[in-house]
Amino acid sequence: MLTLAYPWLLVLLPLPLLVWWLVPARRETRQGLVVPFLARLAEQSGQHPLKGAVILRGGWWRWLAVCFCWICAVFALARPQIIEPPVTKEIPVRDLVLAVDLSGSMATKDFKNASGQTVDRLTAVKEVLDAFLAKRQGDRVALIFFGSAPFVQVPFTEDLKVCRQLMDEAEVSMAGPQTAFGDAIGLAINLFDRSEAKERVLIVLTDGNDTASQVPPLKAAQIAKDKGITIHTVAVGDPRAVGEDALDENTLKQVASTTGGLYAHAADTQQLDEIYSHLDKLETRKAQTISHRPRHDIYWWPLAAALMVSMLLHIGQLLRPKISRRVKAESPGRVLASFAPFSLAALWPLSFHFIRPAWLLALAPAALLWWLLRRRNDAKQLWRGIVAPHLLTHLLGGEEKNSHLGPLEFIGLGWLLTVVAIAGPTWKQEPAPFADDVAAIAIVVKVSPSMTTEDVQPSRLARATDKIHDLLKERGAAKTSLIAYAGSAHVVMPPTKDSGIIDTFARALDPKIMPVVGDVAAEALKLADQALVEAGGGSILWITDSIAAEQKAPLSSWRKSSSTAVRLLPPLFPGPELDAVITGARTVNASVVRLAADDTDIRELASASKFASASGGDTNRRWAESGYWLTPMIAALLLLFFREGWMVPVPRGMTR
Amino acid sequence: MSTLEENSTDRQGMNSGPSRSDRSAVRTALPGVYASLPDLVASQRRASGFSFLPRQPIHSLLAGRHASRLRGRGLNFEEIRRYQMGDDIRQIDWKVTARTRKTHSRVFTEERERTTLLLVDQRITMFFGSVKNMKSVTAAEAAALSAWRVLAQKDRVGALVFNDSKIEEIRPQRSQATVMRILHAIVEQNHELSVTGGTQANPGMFNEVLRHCDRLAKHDVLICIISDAYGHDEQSRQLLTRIAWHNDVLFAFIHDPLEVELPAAGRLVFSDGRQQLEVDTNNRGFRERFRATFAEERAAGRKFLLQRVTPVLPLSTSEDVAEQVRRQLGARLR
Repeated sequence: MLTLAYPWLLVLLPLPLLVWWLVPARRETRQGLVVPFLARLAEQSGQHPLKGAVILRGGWWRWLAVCFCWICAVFALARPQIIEPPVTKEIPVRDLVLAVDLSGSMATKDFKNASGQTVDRLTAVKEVLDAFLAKRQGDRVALIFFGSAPFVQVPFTEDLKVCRQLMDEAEVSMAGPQTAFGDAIGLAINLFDRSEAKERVLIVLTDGNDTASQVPPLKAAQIAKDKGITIHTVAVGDPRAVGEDALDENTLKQVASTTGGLYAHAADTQQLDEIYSHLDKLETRKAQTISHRPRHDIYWWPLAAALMVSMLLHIGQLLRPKISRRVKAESPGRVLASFAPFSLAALWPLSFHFIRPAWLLALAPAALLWWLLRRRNDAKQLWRGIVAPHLLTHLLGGEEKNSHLGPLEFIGLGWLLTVVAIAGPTWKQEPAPFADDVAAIAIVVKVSPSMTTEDVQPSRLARATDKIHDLLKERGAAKTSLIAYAGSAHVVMPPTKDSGIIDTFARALDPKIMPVVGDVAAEALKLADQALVEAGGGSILWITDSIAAEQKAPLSSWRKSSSTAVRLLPPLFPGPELDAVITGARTVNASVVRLAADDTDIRELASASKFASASGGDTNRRWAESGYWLTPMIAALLLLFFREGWMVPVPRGMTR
Repeated sequence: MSTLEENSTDRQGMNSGPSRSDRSAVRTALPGVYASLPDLVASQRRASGFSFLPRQPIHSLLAGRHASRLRGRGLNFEEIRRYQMGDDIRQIDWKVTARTRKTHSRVFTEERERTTLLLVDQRITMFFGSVKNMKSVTAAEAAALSAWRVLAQKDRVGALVFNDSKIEEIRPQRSQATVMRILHAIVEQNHELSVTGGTQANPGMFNEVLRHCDRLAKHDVLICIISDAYGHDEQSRQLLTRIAWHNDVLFAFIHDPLEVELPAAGRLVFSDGRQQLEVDTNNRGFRERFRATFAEERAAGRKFLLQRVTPVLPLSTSEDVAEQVRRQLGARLR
């Protein structure tokens, strides 16, 4: 879709009329050959000699071209943009819940995968899910793990990468040795209750032998059916296995058939495909995320058209003369050399570059054309071949008063500006509210018993969690990673745009879940650094109430190895504890943001981290089209050409 | 007229003193643009192969121009012959007529003396040239050649060197010093020419110099007008007629190829130093008109002058002057 960012600028279109009426005609004084027979010339040509004044008039085609160029320039000035349909956010999405069995029986090595190796069931599940998730781009997926009890590993998220990553981290017996299949269905029902999706699909990957459910699977399936949930079951394991590890195919089939779902065996590709195609048929719903409409500046399209037309016009002028004379050409190197400063300027600053550098090649023909025009308009060149050069120097009269800034110079400048504008110079990234443009942030939280101190209400950790929640809201769909540490450091959540997951996981942080007590801040920061590299660069937000003295050395060595900006948000009131943290923060050159009662600290953090360290390899990066700001200059230059008599002197050979 | 003179005196005042010699030094180093005195002096060696005397080679422009070799009453008696129509009745020998009862006239041969007066045009309109020399340089060279030639014939030579504001008179004398004075006067006026000097063309100067010449040359003087005839009008025709009545006139018409015909070279800006005119030379009709007017004017002038027994010697700026003169007056060399 084509829109104009500043359509009101189109009112400038009649401006040339004003110039035409109000600005007095430019009377060009050109060097003429002083001849004794001027009166005869005047008589025969029916003209009157003027006092050193020639008003140049172009033909209708010249006016046509200038008008076209002006329209193009004004159009470019109005900043035409193509608004792309918000593709990424309005693609059809479905809500899917994946329930993965992590019971002890999943460790049984009885599954032959695609490459023929015998692997354990969980590995098989991971492989199946990898293939599955790869096809579900754009869908929202939740991940439930179940063992002795079910738990939501990933709430509904679009970040399938995180989903797969967390899936990869799953280990057998993580959730207890038994299989609470029925309860998992119950949890999924709960999860769906909070979803607005009409079509609710649960895919259960299990070996099916329910051993620990409070609700039997069939009963749960019945409830699920009442709630309109379709359950597809994927059996993992060897149907011939017996005992605890046996594959309860019957239950799985029944569960599936009760809810109108399908049953498949993980090894049976055909059956899996059936499930996939079934999923594809599901009614989709539009995601209610902020619409994401990238605008592409195309101001350079009309500029390119104007450039072409104006150059063609002058090429035409050059080609018109019928007389051709061999003229000893002076080296064009001098002219080209005059462009050298521009190329030097292009080296600074380093982030300066052109979006469409190929267009700069147009400078070469433009320079050549300009040089030819200039040469042709040189009075001496005009007379060369007619009057002997040694006499000519003494016969040219009438100084060229406008020789410094005439139309020729302006058209050269105009071409230069236009080519540069078309090439799209840029040195900064677009500060657009797009998720891609906001730098990632890695939140490092210390989860130690001291964080539960309730001097800050409700507790330091809870306050930190609240702040994280606010920060996530403030940052929108920017990439965020969550790292928790105490005596050991863990990536709770790799970088994801789904703030919901981060929020959920941040709220689940509790000193009790940390396996080792202690303080490995440096290690945590190292992990954060890795996460940021993955996310394409960003900054670290460090939330801690203390920095252990023995961490000083590792922290400073980390600082030396990394350049990532660190911001410290201690959930502390002013006091000796805060002072100690601030002192410790100097080791890593962290800027300390003090806890505030309102959102000021969060806003400060959000704005500071927005453009932090934009040195990643994110290919979605957008550069601000700074070339547009040259268009007013181009338009102003062009406006001059509407002044009467303001035109590049038509080389000889022109007929009126 | 008065303002012009003031202008010129101002300019001369400005350029007087050492700057004038500097200028001359600079301008001498510009062959074709300005005449140089050493060159003019050196042209003495080239002043041969032609003659202004009545006895002319058969292909010369001057051949057959003279109805009688006698201009006025010569000293050397040659013969008595039957009176012919057109003979001066004062030449009738009444004694022989009475005796033979047929009218007879006395015929004297040689001229006693042929004083030559050079009218050298160095006006601003002469400061133009497109191929080899400026018209003014061509004129200077032609004048130098003539002066040296006349001196070689042991005749007296004088000159009226004129530009847009003044006429420099050099009385005819038979001496090398006079020739040098003529050359000096020419070079001085020649070096004053410049398109940036602000000199305005003065067409009236042509008649002025003719009038001056009329006063100076009473009879039997060979008058060499070396000019482009800029500013000629009805009055100049009358003056010329009057001068030619008692004198021989030779018109060396200096012209430039660009004056004759314009090339088709698109729009060209022409100027007279003050005003400008842009002309589309690709217009064939215009070029034709331009060529035709010049040709017509030249033909009319030539016709008029020939009626007054005045040969026209066209000298182009594109060629060596001595060559042209020799070719047209000294066809004997061919």
